[in-house]
Amino acid sequence: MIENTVIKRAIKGDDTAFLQVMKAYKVDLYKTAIAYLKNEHEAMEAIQEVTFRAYKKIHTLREPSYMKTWLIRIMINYCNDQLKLKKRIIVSEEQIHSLGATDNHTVMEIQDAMGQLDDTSREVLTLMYFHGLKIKEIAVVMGRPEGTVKTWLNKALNKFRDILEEKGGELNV
Amino acid sequence: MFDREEEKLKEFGRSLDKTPISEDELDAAIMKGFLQAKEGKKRNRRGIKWGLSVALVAIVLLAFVTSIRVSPVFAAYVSNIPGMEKIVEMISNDKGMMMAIENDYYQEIGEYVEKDGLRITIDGVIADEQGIVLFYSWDSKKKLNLAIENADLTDRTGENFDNGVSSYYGTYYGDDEVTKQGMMEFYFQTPYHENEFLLSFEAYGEEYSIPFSLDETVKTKKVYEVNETAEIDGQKIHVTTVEVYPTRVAVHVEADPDNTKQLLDFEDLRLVDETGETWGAIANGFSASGGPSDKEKVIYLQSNYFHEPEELYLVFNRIQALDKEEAYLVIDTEKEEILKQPKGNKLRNLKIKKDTLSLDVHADNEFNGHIFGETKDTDGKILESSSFFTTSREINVSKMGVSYEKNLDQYQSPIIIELVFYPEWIDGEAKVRIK
Repeated sequence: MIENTVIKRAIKGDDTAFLQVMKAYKVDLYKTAIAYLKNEHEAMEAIQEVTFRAYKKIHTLREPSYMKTWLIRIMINYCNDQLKLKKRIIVSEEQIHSLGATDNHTVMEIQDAMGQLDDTSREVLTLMYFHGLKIKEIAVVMGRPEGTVKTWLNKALNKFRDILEEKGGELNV
Repeated sequence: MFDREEEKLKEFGRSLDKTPISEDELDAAIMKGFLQAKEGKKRNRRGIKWGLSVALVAIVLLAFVTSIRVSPVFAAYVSNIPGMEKIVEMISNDKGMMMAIENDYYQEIGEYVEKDGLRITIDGVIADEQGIVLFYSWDSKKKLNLAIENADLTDRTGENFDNGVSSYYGTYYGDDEVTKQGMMEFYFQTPYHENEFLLSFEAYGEEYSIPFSLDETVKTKKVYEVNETAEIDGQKIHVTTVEVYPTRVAVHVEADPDNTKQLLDFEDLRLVDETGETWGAIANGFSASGGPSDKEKVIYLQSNYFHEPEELYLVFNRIQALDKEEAYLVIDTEKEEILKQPKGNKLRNLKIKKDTLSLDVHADNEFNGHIFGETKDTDGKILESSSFFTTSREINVSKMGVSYEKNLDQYQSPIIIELVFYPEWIDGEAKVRIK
């Protein structure tokens, strides 16, 4: 865990502290990038870009305890833009390999389904299930009331299920 | 209700946890992003570009300053000028600049520009005929940090002076307090003749410019024609001239063409007067220019301009040096292999990824230089570098890397990299009287 004082120094423009912060959250950021982009190279590219953006904007962060989620949101925004550029998502052998999961089929299925969700749904699910945030925390991060987040989460899970079932249905025909 | 979906998502989350991650690559990516942000993405607006062989510029970031001791008279002087205390903090590790202020050689300016609720003021300068050190401050309701980019000092019409170098920094010091002051340095290759200037720069994507003029005439340099030869470990160094400016001292040296070693860095070169008082290397800013293959090298030291010594010596005991036939690195970019390096196997663990090359440097002593100089491929094509990075994980082992503008597979392997710093030294005693 990184200390609050280090984060505060980073916000005030201390370079050493900034690098410490980035290193402390690099794995969380990388996981997010992989979940969205599914490709190691692009994920590294994303880390670089997020570092760039974070450095330029860190002075705008008011609350040090939001550092991690603030960074993850920058990453999610970046990834969303990247996905829009791509439109169609292709999973290559390398990406499957880099995920190192035992059940590649499930992983691909979920990645695919995530890719078809709208931005908000994808963000809520990512924060909730990949980063283990609670609804209350997501509400703070996204700047919306808890009730709204709950609604979003429900919608997201609904859509997610529809996508998965649609797929399953096709496979069973 | 969504048990099955939630379970799938969690499972996916767990699979992400198992993703193999290269910490090194992550660190390198962070460093790249950080350096790009620091440099500002679009640099060299007016195309000032010094190749490595022309000027080797070492810039060290400001260290943390906790306390400075000054004389009561100096303290009183400092407290009379608004903002001066912070300025003194910024330059406290440079004896020459401190003395310039003590000798009332600081010119107050007070010109400012205001845009978008942000006011930036040039508080004052320390100027000499070839350099201008500028102190600025800012005031803003919302923005805590000011990131200055693409700063440029020109005459009033926006015309550039001859090729110069510049560096700027602000806000990086002070533990808990947010400072709103910074400094910029501009040095030119030949003396300028204007006293009307235009400082332009970007901050938060907005362009700003502040006209200002220097009212007091700047002091001219003192020049010592030395023309003496010093010797360390059988290597001859001709000291040609020493120029003393109020902001810094420029020591011009030439390595003897018959030397067996390539002299890379004069680490401890210093001026010593008859009482033993010493003026050492520049701690923050430009420390030297001239690459290994250049005939002349200029080493910059803190200035003793305002101190008139009876005797003055140039002293050094240690030089980073490599045998001439060993002062480069040959890399097979296809096999990702070091084909040739100086003896001692200090460079290990070579990695090549797209446009980036990195390796571990094992040093026996403290070593901070960045080793990579000019790079050529087999066809003699120069590989333009876009950024450098260094990270240290253990004492005396650092990971150093360089990114080129194109991917390495675009060049004919093997490539040859000139070594501009290296953890290998020669020792001895050299003392040249300059006054």
